[in-house]
Amino acid sequence: MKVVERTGAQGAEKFYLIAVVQGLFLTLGHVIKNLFNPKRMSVVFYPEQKKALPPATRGRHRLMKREDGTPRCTACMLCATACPAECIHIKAEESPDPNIEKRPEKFDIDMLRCVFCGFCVEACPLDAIRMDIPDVTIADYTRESLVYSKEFLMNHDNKDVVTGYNPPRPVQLTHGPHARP
Amino acid sequence: MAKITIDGKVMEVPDGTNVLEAALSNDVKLEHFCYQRYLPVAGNCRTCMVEIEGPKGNMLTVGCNTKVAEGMVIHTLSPKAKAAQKSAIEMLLLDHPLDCPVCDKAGECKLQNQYMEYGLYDARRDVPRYFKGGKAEDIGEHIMLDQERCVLCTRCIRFVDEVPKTSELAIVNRGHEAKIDIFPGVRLDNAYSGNVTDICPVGALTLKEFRFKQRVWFLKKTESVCHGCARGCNMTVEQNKGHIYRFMPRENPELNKTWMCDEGRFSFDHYQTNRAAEVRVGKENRNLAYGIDQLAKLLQDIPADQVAGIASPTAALEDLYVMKKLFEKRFNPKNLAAPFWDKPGDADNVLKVADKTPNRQGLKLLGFDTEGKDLLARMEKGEFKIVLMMHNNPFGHDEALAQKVYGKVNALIVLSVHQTKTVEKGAMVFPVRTFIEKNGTFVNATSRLQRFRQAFEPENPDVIESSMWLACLANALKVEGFDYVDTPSVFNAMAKEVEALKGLTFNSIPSTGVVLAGLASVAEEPFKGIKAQPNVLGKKCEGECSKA
Amino acid sequence: MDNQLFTLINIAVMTVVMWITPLQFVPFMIWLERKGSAIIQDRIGPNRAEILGVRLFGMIHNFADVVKLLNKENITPSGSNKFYYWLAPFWSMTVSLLPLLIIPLAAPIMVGGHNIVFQAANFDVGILYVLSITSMGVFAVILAGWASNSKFSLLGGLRSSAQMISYELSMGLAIVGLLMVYQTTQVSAIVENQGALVTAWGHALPLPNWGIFLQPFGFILFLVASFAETNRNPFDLAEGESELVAGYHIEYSSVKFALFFMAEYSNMVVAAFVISTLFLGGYQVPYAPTEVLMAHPHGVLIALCVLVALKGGVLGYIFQVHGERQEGLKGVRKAEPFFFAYLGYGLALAAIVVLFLSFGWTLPDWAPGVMAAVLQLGALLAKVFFFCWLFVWVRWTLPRFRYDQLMRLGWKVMLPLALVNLLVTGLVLLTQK
Ligand code: SF4
Ligand code: SF4
Ligand code: SF4
Ligand code: SF4
Ligand code: FES
Repeated sequence: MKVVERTGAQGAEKFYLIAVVQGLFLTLGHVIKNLFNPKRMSVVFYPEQKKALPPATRGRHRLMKREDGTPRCTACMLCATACPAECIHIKAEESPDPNIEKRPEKFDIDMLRCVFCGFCVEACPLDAIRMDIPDVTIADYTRESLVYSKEFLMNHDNKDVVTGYNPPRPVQLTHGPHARP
Repeated sequence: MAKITIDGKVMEVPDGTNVLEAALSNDVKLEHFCYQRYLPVAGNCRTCMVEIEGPKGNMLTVGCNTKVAEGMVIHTLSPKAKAAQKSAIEMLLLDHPLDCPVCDKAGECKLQNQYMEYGLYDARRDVPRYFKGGKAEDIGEHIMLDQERCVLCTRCIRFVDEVPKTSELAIVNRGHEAKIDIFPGVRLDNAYSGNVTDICPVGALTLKEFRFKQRVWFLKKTESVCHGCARGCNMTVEQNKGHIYRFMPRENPELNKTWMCDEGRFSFDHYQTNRAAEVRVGKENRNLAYGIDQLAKLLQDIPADQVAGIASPTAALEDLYVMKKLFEKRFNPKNLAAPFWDKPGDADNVLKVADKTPNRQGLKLLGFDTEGKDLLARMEKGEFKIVLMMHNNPFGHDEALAQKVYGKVNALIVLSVHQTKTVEKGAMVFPVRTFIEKNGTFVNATSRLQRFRQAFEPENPDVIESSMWLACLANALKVEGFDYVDTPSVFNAMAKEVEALKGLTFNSIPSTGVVLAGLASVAEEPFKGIKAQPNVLGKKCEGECSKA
Repeated sequence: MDNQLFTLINIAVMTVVMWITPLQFVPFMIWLERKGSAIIQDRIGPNRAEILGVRLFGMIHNFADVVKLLNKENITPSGSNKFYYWLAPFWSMTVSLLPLLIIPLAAPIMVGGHNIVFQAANFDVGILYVLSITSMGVFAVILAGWASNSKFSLLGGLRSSAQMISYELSMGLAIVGLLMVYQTTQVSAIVENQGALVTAWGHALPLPNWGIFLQPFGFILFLVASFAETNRNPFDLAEGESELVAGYHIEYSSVKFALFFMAEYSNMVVAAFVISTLFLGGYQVPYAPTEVLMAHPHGVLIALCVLVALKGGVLGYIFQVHGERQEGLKGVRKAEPFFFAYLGYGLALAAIVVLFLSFGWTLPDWAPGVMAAVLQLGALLAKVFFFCWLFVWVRWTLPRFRYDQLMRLGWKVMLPLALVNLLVTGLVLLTQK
């Protein structure tokens, strides 16, 4: 065991009352300034005023679609594996197209558990999941409605959105059925 | 014995061992595709390249097809060897589809692992990939084939040729068009077909029953023993969160090698469907404590001679032991027998035996009467008020006979894993654990004592091991000597009493089992008439065998 | 009217008034705490709850809180001791309402031949009564901590009872110094004493005869001890969130929690009243004892008007700048601060008008007494508000003590200092004789 000598308050400082009074005057300064000049408080009146989201905001998830509207996801479960919150629940099924082979029958994200780390987006080898819907106030009245289903996650127009988390991927698949368009 | 040197490590291995086997059994890493410990050597993948010092200079050769010789000096890490290994993998990956995200083998794929271990290069090909085609082809009752992913190691062909000897598979075409296929009009439907998916080093052959159900890295593996027949093939139970996804054979050179039959392999669903769920007393569902309490009250007022016990060869050794002990101490051991009216199943000279119960030999070991003619005759006369029925299902096997025999019994106390016909007849029903949910031992047809371990806890805490249930009942009846804490402690107590088990403890049983002296074997050794396997093992496999 | 009956009614009215005063202060204190903390931290603070768009600068949040707390499930933990568990919050609340009875709000006045007193109970033992009542508050903490059958609340209760007992000592000793100086325990007498100027060794000094000047050490000790007694930061170890979640009242919900919550704030109000009365001259206006005020009714009137005008003006200005801050808002939300701003300006204006209209008029003969009483009440409330603010201010400035530091301070610093203070006071008094 190593004993570490305390450093810090010495001499007059040890007599805390002075420091206490100094502290009180510091906060009093803020009070007076803020009372007579409230403009110096940088407050946004939130629901009425909103700040623009920075481009790297991790927003709401969506599942990307192929041209024909089927999910690009192949239910590889790499996102579910990477997810630290264990909130992605995938059930795979056989796809009628033998070149695609596997597709998600069920793809649920439990937003109540999601920590918005973006690992799922980075893990996906097929760019099938993105977190770029600029919606950060995700709230609802029931627990069930916050477990997003595959249909909900695919309910978008499949356009690229600039604002949103879409990290560059080192490898781009150029051949085969899973290549990015 | 031959003394050889691999990577500067001096070792002694049996004569006739190949270099690959020698390296593997001495913890030298050497990757391989086509070599399988229990199949003839083919030497066609060239990933096990090693450099061997010779009088005329060093030479490169495959490790799997080179037998050791006295004084051999082998390098697996020399630049030449590494380059050869690397280019072999590059060759294998040339036209590989690399659809690992959809491939069920990902996570336990030799190609994936080897690329990460030895490859790690950027693709060098500048012409488009050749698409072989043939994805997701249905080639058998249980098997799907993806010809693109195949690395043509021929393990599957050698397996169907050597073990079930059905030879459904072959390579067709030549050159880069070569691919695995079934003969026209033939399907891969033999009784051991599931094994080809285990030995396929890549995701070319996959099991329909496991396909897309779960990623392999989520699976937790537990050492176990197949319950499907008296052979007791060694296997692992692979489950995630209490749901079993597959049984996989576990290497045991003395028993099942690395094989198991499809019947056993696909029996996993049987243990998680149609389970008896709730403790039932009369018509009500109650909890375990209440049930035991009621039963103890009931038994208190009944003369010990009017209580009979019906055991079963599907129970573990521990369950049988506790039941026997309870009857010895509290009731009459004469009123205990294990008649089990199942019909024999099919047998073959590979692994399957006709007896489809895992532990008949265990009954014999503990001196149970497996016919119970006398007991059943007395039962028919109505001599017994209460019958303790453990893991047995007479009404399911022969309802009319069961009705005749058990018709006069006042109360049938049923311990059951499944929701059977006997459960419906029971006055009190206690759901108990399957062998997957508990620790225990079985004795197989060739008198091998084998241990299985608990894979997970059942959801309902009222579902306990039969041995523990019996101990609870004994304690409720205030019988001394049943202070067991778990099944291993039952085994350890039993080993002190039973002659054949002397000196064993639950944890000291080798994972490949131990043959009990003094208990006659009732079946032939496996693989009878199948050509003696050509590969000499570098080391006897004890405990954890590396997966060949 | 019969004099005795009048006195009886007078006392009864004062009792009720003094009883509900802390309750009146509680919503204000809660608002002050929230708004004060916000403004110290450069925030706006609560401003969302509304009734028909009226937000009263966040005051409406108190109503929302009440509605919320009343609607919460009233939980009784199954392992608790039901009787004591239920007793604790009521005990806590009751005890916190009692001590104010002995505080005089203003000097007694004569109106229409009747003597009106502004004090509910003029006990001889005055201060001792306060001490005894406040020390009963610790029972509520212990009961709540023990009866909830939760280790967090038990630890919280243990801590705060140990803390209260330790600091009660220094508090009592600090007051003893005061008693030695004023030679009485009767609160009204102490306050009257404080109207004069300080005399030391026969010389009058230009300082009011307040406890803070006679007993500066005693004042600091008493102030610190009362922070500890009310379980306020920096001594709020009873509810060290990081260690004990919420301390002794963690298992309380709904109304029972509300009672604890209100008791905490009314304790603060009581402490503010007691400190103002004992150390800051109570209702005394500095340099103007009651007789002086009675003698100069016009001066009092001017003073009152000037004060009202000042207050209205300053508040109006603050409301106005805050109204302008709320860019992008519409409707009542936008209009409300300006309404209050103009109300403030209007008050200021009205005060000046009253001043001009009434100056030179002959005042009715009850007026001097009433006006003096109003001014004195104002003086007392100003002091009380200052201490209320001090409680908030300190909480949002200082960090919390560690438990061992707290105990060391209580026993190794405060107690010896209080004893030394007594010794010095005694010596000085002896030399004065
Ligand atoms: S953002 Fe993180 S926590 Fe949320 S689903 Fe993706 S991986 Fe899981
Ligand atoms: S990682 Fe991508 S492709 Fe794989 S399951 Fe998740 S979303 Fe689907
Ligand atoms: S066989 Fe292996 S390398 Fe090939 S796709 Fe499957 S996992 Fe990937
Ligand atoms: S299917 Fe599998 S086992 Fe058969 S040759 Fe191809 S890679 Fe080897
Ligand atoms: S060539 Fe040796 S393992 Fe394939």
